[in-house]
Amino acid sequence: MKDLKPIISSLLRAKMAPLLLILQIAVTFTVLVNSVYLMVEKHADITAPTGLSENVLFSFQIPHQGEEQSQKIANMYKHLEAIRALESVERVSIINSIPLSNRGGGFDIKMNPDDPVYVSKAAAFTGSYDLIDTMGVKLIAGESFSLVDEEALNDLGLGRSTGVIISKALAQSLFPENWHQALGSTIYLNQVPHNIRGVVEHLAGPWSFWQYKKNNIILPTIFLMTDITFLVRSHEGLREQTMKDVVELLMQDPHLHIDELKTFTEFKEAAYQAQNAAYTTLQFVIVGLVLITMLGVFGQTRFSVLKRRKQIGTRRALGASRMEIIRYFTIENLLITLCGATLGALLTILANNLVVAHLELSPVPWPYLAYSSAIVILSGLIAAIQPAINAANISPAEATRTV
Amino acid sequence: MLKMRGVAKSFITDTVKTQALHPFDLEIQQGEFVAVVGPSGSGKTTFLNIAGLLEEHTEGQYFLDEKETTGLSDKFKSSLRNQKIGFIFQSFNLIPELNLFDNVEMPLRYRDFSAKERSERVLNALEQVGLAGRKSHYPQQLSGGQQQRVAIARALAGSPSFLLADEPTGNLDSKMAEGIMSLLKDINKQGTSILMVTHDMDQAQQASRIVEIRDGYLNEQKVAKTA
Repeated sequence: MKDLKPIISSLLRAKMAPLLLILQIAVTFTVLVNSVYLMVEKHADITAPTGLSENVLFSFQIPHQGEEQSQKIANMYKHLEAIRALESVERVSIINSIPLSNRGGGFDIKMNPDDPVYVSKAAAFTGSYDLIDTMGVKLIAGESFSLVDEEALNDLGLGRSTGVIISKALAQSLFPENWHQALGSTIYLNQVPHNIRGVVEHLAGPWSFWQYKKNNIILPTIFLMTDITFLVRSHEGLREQTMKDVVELLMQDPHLHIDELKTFTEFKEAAYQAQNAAYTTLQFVIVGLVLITMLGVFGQTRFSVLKRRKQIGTRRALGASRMEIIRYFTIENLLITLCGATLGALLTILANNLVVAHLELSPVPWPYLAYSSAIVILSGLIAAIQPAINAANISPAEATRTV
Repeated sequence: MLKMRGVAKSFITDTVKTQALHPFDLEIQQGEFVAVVGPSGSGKTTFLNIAGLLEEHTEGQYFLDEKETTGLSDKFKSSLRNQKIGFIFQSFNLIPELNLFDNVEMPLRYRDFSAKERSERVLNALEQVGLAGRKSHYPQQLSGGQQQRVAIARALAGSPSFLLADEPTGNLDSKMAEGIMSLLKDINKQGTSILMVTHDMDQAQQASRIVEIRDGYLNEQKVAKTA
């Protein structure tokens, strides 16, 4: 680091060109930090576990058949049994809405009916008693529903005392210190008390963009709407076949029409389409920012080498080896990128404070400053290699050249 | 101290071979002040570059303090230049962004001197050229003559075997040139050998020996010097 002092002195003397590059790096850095943060967030979103057995599930809708409610219910169970009897079907349940389908309903969750404000919000999935098993979600505490809990009604059956199963994320938001306390506790949905009888590990909600998307409740009530939604779980690797089998079975009844026949994978893809597009765009933005940094550093280093040909020749004549010239330009460059990254980090912290104070957004976490510094410094180093080697190749005889 | 045997330099461009310097022998002893004269384009700069290890000769052998320099690696040659040769250039070649102290210290940084020793050497050298009081000034704040004195201090600071001066007064007016010449003579009197390239015969006359280069041929001038 013997070169450090003269390098700092020269940079302080030269001022303008290095300062402009430092500013450029600082601004790039600030955008980079946010882009990297957003990208990682999007990635976490896209790859977040849904809790469901994604590859074996599909769903479809058929309309209710019959005039009377009892007739409708009987027909519904007849179809359910017929589908369950198919060889390729592992399980089948009735459900009010499919996770990530953009359709569903939810509640404000209160711990006390008289509380003026809710503790959290959650979406509700309601249907057959064995919905959890069909979805493939993992029960990590408490107990599942049994057949006796199931009932078909014209509403969600909030007055029934079957209890509810909730997602772990909801348990954590109700009991941040120890989510296990949720089990056996009472929550209020529309002022009606419900006992929490079970907790599932993960369960994706109906809307991928909703703030409370991980908070979900499961109820064992088959909610009679215009159409019946079936969620079918095929045997591993047999989803296509199962879909064909189910269609074939139902098409035996000429009055029946099947709607919304979709795999869960399709729902998930559609739900995350925007996030996927943003993720891809952010990747391009980051590559672009890295290129801008590299071009800036490359240009500045190259210019400074061209401008200092004679000076470099003189240094070589006075005893600097090729390696020492490369070292000189590498250190000079490293100093500039470090200053740029530091200034950028300060800008980011400043922007963070503003964002938190005025926009109620979450600030960029600290590690992202480190990631971005690493990206900027590494790109700077790579960009400086070629001009530094060029500088090292300047002949020491350049010192005696008069023109 | 410096011994050249059959040293020559030729360039080959496409199929044409140009002989920049024809084979010559030259020996310079410790304490000598040798002037190399000749018109422009005669091969003076090529000779200077070879003597200064800035350029490789294509034939012959060049010994510096008994050490054969032909075919040495870049690292080795750089360190030989740094330790054995003190360069003085026609246009001073000071680094404008560095103050006088840092300029003189620059070649010392390529050696294993401690910061304290570097500082002592810089101050001594600046003292020797009469500019110790201006160590924090920048080259642009000095006259041409003063800048060349700084360059001489830079050349002296590393205690080289000899000074290699390339037209040291070429960019100076006659009064300043005179000052630089007398400084060089003083340095020579104190025992440092000097090899000076010049086209000025008057200055060459002040050296202890004159070597003439004409059309790539190097000849010792037999004419006795006047001073």
